[in-house]
Amino acid sequence: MNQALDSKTLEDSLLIVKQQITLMRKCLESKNPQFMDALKHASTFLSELRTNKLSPKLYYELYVLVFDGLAYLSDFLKESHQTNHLADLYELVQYAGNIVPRLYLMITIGSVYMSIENAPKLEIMKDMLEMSAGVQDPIRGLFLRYYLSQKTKELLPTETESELKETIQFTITNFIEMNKLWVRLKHQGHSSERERRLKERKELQILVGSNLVRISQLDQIDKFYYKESILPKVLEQIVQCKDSLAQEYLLDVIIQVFPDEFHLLTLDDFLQSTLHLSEGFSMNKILVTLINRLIDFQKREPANVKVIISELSTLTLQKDEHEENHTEESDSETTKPQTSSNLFEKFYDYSHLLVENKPELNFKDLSLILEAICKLSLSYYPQDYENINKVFGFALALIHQTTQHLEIWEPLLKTPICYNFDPKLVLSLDDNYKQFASALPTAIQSANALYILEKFLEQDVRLSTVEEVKTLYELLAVWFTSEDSSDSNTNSLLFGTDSSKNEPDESPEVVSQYEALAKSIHLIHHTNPYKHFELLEIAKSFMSKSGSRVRYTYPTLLFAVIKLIRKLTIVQKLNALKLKQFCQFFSATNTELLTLVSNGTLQSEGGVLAQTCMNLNLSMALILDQSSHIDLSYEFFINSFVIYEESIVDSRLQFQCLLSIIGTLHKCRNIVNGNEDNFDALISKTALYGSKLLKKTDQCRAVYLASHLWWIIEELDEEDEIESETAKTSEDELQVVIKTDNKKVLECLQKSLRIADSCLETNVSLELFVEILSRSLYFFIHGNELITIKYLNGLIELIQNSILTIGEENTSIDTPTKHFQRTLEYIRQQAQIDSRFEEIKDR
Amino acid sequence: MSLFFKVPLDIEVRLDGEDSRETVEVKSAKGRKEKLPVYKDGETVKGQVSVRLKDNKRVEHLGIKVQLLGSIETKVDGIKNDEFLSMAHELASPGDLRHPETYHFEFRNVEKQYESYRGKNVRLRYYIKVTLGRKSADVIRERELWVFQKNQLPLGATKPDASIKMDVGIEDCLHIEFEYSRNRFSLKDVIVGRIYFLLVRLKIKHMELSLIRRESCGAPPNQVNDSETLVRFEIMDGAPVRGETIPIRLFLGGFDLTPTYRDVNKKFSTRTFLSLVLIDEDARRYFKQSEIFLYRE
Amino acid sequence: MLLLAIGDFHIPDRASSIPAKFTKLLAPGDKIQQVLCLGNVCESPSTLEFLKGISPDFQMVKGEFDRDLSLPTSLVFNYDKLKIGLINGFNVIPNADPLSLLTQARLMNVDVLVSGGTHKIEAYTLDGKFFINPGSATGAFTTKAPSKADLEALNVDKNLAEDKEEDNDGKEDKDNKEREHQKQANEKTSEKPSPQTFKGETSNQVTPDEDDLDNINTDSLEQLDPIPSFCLLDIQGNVCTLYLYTCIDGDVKVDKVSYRKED
Repeated sequence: MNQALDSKTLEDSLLIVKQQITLMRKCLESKNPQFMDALKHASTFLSELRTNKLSPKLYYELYVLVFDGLAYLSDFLKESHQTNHLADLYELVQYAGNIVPRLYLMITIGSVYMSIENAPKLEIMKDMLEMSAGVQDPIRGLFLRYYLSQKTKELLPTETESELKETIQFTITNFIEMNKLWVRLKHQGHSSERERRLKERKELQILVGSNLVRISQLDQIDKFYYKESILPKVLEQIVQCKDSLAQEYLLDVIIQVFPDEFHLLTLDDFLQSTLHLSEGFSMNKILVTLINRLIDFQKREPANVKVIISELSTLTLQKDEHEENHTEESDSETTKPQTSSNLFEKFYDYSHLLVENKPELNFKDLSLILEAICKLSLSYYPQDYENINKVFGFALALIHQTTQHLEIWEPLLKTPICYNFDPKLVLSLDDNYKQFASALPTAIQSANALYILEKFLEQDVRLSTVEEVKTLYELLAVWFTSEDSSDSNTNSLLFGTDSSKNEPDESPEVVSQYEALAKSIHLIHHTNPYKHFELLEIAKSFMSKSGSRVRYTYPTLLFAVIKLIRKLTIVQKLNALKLKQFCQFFSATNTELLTLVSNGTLQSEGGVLAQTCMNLNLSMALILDQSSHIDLSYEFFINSFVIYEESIVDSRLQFQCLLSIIGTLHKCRNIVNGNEDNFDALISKTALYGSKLLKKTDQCRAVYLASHLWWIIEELDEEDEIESETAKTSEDELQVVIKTDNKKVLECLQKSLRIADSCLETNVSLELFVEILSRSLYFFIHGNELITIKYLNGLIELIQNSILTIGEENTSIDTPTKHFQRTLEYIRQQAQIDSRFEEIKDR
Repeated sequence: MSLFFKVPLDIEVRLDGEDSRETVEVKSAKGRKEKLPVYKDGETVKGQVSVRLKDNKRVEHLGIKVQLLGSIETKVDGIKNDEFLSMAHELASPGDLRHPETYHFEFRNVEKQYESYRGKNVRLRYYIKVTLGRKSADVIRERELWVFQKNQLPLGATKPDASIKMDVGIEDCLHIEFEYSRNRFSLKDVIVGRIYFLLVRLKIKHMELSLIRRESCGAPPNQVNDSETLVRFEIMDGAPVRGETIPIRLFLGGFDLTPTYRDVNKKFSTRTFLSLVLIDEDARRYFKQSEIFLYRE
Repeated sequence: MLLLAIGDFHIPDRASSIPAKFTKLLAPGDKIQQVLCLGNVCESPSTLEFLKGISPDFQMVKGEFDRDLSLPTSLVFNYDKLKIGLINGFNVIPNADPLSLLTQARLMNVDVLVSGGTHKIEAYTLDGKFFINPGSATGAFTTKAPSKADLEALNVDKNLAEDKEEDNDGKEDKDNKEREHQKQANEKTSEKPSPQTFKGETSNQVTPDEDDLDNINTDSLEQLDPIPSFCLLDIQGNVCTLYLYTCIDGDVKVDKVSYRKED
C-alpha cells in the first residue's frame, strides 16, 4: 500500500469525523437536545472506523479522534441519564445496521450505564464482551476491544468475590480474544508483506498487553488467587496461540507487570508452560528477565522472599499430599516429579527439561540460561556451592556436544567470579568448573584467569589455606603451561641455544597476566609465618612451571620470605631450623632467576635482572642481620658479591650495585659487632670493588662513598631514649656509635683523591676534588679526628691551584668551579654556627 | 365540470372513542402515511354517520345503509376483490333529507377473522362503507379500520419454541453451524442465536442477517410470489477462523414486520425468512434461509 | 605550577597497588603539569601507564629495583626561581642521611631535592635547602629496621589485645602458655638489654620449640608497614608549597608545608 495514499485516506476520514463530532455536539448542546440526531452523527463518524485502508498506526490516529468524540456522548449521557433511560438506549443503538458503529455505541452507552448505581453491571459487561465477537477483523477488532477495555477499566466491579471473579473473567476473555486477533494479523495479506505485518503487529502489541496490565492493577488479587485463577488461563492462551512474537511479548509483560512475589509462587506453572512454546521463541530472553527479576527481588526484600519461599514449601507439601491421595486412588500417575521449594532446583531441573523438550534450542541460549541460573543461585543461595557445581557439570556435558562457537560460554565461565561478591566462591567449586574452563579456547581460559585474579586483587581476598592457594593457581593453570609448550620446545630442538631467538618477546597481555600473578602472592596470608611459608612454597611450585616468566613472579615471592623473617624476628619466634629452610628456599629461587641471566635466556634484560637478584640478596642479608643471624647474613652478602662479580657486566650497573652494597652494609648493626672480621672483610672487598670500576669517576666516587663503611654512627630519633650501654653522648646529639675508624676513612678519601688526580680530563678531576672536599667536610663535621682543618685547607688549596692552572676563564670548568664556590659558601655559612669552621681558609 | 357532478352532501363516519383509540400508521398506496384506528377480533364496531347537506338543499335518496366489510384484494390478473365479511344496517329508508342527520350504528362483536395487511400484490382490509342511494350515482363513504389479530399462534410452528439448528457449508470451503433459540417470534421479540464456524477457507468480508417477507397469492399455477427484504443487519465484520462463534441478536420491534399468514381465505400467504448472508472479498454472496414464524402478541 | 612527586611503588614485588583513594585523587586531568617519579616502580607496566596518564610530562629516575637501564639516575628541573633535583635515594650514602643529601643538593645545584628510598614521607629545610621525601605510594615493605617507637606502639597494642583475651574465660590453654612464654621473653629483655638489638630491643636468639611454632599470630605486625604517601608541589616564584598526602586506614590525610628560597 502506498503511504501517501494511506495518509490521504486518513485525512479524509479525520475530516469527516471532525465534522460529525461538531454536528453531534451541536445536537447535544442545544436547549432541547436532539438526542436521536446526535446518535446518527455518532454513527456516521463511527462508520469511518470501518475502513480497511489504514495501517495500524494511522488507524490509531483515527481511533483517538473517535474516542474523544464518543467521550462527549458519554459525558452527555452521564449528565442526562434521567431523561434518557439508558437501558432503552442500549437497546436502541442495537438497531444500527453496521456492526462496528453499533458496538462502539453499545459500549459507549453500556459503560455509562455501568457507572450508574444499581445498574446490572455484570450483565452489561458480559453482553458487551460477547457481542464484540462480531468484529473478526484483526485491526478493527483489536481497537474495538481496546475501547471496551478502556471504557470499562474504572467501572469493573470488585466488591464481592463473585464480582471480582467476573471482572477477571471479563478481562482475561477480552485478553484472549485480542490476542487471537493479534496473532491472526500475521496471516493476513500477501506473504511478501510479512515483514511489514510483523512491524505492524509490534505496533499493536501494547493493546493486547493492556489487559494484563489491567489485571495487575486490581488490588484485590493476592498471589494465591493469581496462581489459581489468573495465570493458568493466561498461560494457556499464550501457549495455544503458537505465535512466538505474542509469546515473547506476553510472557515479558507478565513478568514485568505482576509483582515478584507472584512469580516466585507460580514459578513451576510458568516454567512448565514455557516448555510448550513455539520454536521461534527466544527462551533465554524471557528466562533471563524472569531470573533477573527474582534476583532483584531477593536483593531488595530478602525478608519478604523468605516468607514467600516458606509459603511455597507448605503449598508444595499440601500439593504433594493431595497428589499422593490422588495416586492412591487412581494409581495412574506414579512418577510425578517431586516439586521442591528450592528455587535453584526448580530452574536447574527445568534446564534439563528444556534440553529434552526443545532440541532446537541453541547453545547460545542455553549458555545464557545457565548463566542466569548461576546468578540466581549465587543470589539466593550464596553459600551453596554445590548448585554452581551442578550448573557447570551440566554445562560440561553440553559443551562436549559441540566444538563450535565456544566463545559463547565465556560469560557463564565468568559468572561465579563476576557475580558473587565473595570471589572465594570460585575456589570452592569442584572439578566441573576447571574441566569446563579447560574445554574452552586458551584465549578465553586465559582471559578468565586474569579476570579471576583481578577480582581477588581488587577485593584483597586473602588466601590462607593450602587448598585455597592450590585451587587458585590451578584455576590459572593455563598460564603456566602455554609458554612451555610453545617456546621451550622449539627453542631447544630447532634453534639450539641461539640466544637471539630465545629472547621472549612478551605480549602486553602476558605481561599484565604475570603482573597480576605476582600480585597474587600478596594475597597469600597466614597469621603464622611458618604456615605462610608453606603456602609460599606451594605458590612457587606453580610459578616454577612458567619458564623464563618466573622473572615476573619470583622477586615477589622472595620479598614475601624476607617479610616473614622480619615478622618472626619481631615476635621472637625465629626457629633456626626453619630459618634454614627459608634461606634455602630463598637461595634456590634466586639461583633459578640467576640461571636465566647466565644461560642467556634474557639478553638485554639480563643484567638488570641480575641487579634485582643481587638487591634481593642484599635485602635478605640485611634482614638476617637484623634478626642477629649474622653468619647467615654474611653468607648472603657473599652471595651478593658473587652475583656482582659474575653477573653484573654493565659498568653503569656495576656502579649502581656497588652503591646498593655500600648502602646496605652501612645499615648493618649486628654483624658489625658480632663478627667484626667478617664485616671488615666485606667492607674491604667493597672498597676494592670500587677501585676496580671501569670509569675513573665511578672508581673515585665509589671509593669515597665506601669510606662511610668505616664510619657508622646512628643518629637517634629525638623521641628515642638511650638504653644501650654503648650509647654515647657527644655534646647535645644522641648517637650510637657502631664503627668509627678514622684511619680507614682517611685512607679511602686519600685513595679517591689519587684516583681523581689521575683523571686525564682536568675538569673531571676538579669536579671530583670538590666532591671529595664535600665528603671530607662530612667527616669533619662528624668529628673524624684525622680530617683536620689542615687537611681541609690542603684540599681547598689543591682545588684553587687546579683552577688557577687551568685558568678561571676556561668555560670547561664552569660547573666544578661553581660547585666549589657553593661549597665555600656553605663553609662560610657553617662558620657562623660552628666555630671550628672559622679556621678553614678561604680567600 | 365538477360543479355539475358535485355531490350535494357530505357523509362523515365517526367511530366511538376515536380520539383515545389505538391507531396504526400505514403507508398508503400513494406513499402517504395514514393513521388508522385499530380493532380487535370480536370487538364491536360502533359509531355515527353524519350526513350534512350542502347549500341546505333538499336531497332525495333511495335509502342510507352502513356496511362493515372485510375484503381481500389481489392484483393478480387485474384487481380481484373477495369479500369475506359483509354486514349491513339500514340507517334510513328512502326519502328526503332536509336537515343534517346523524345515525348511530353498531356492529356487535364482529368476528374479524384476519389481520389487516397491505402487501405488494395483496391487501386485506376492513372498512365501514356508508352508501346513500340515489337515482343518479350513489354517494359512498368509506372508512378503513385496522385489525390486529392478537395472541394468534403462528401457523405451522409445530413445536412451540423449537430451536433452529442448521449445518450448512460448501464442500472444502466453508462449514458453519448456526442456531437460533427458536423459530417463532412475536413481533416485538428479539432473535438470539449464534454462528459457529467449523471450516473457513473463504475470504469472508462480512456477514449479515436479513429478514425477507415473502408474499404469495393466487393458486398454482397462477400463483404470484413476491419477496421483499425488510431488514439488513450486519452481524460480523472480517473473517473468522475455525472455532470462532459469532453472536446473533436482532431486535424485531423496530421493524415493520407482518405476522406469518398461511392461506388467508385461500387467497394469499405472507411468510418471513431469516437469511444468513456471507459476503466474500470478491463480493460473492453465500446465503442460507430459514423460515421464522412471526406472530402478534 | 603543580608537580606530583611519587615513588617507591615496588609493584608487584612488595605491594599490589596504590591505594584506591590515591588513584581516585590522581585521576587524569590537567591539574598536574609534571610527574616526578622517584623510581622503584619495578615490573609494573600498569603502574607506569597510570602515572603517564596523570600528566603527559612524565619524568622518572631509576631506582635500584627498576629494570630499565636506560633511565637516568638523577634529573634537574628549573622552575621560575627554583631548581628542583630528583634522585631515587639509593645513590645517597649513607641512605637518607641529611648531611649527605645536603651535599648531593649542593652538587646538583638545586634548591629543592626530592628523593626516596626510606618509604617514609617527610620534608624539611636544612641550610636553606628544601628536602622532600614523598615516601612510598603503596606503603611498600622496607628492609629498614623498624624504629623503637614503632615497636613500642606494637607492644601497647599487643597488651591491649591480651587484656581483651583475658576477659574471655573459655580460652585454650595453649594461648595461656604462649602468653606466659612471651611474658618471660619480655622480662628477660628488660632485665638484660643487649647491645645487639633493634635499638636496644631484644635480640636474644630465642628459639622456640616446635610446638610453640604452631601458635604464632603476627597479624598485629601489619601496622609496621609504611604508610602509603605522595606529595604535590605547588611552585610559585621562589615559593614551594608542599602537600603531603598520606593514606591511613583508608583515609586520606593532607598536610601542608611551605618553603621559600632565600635570595
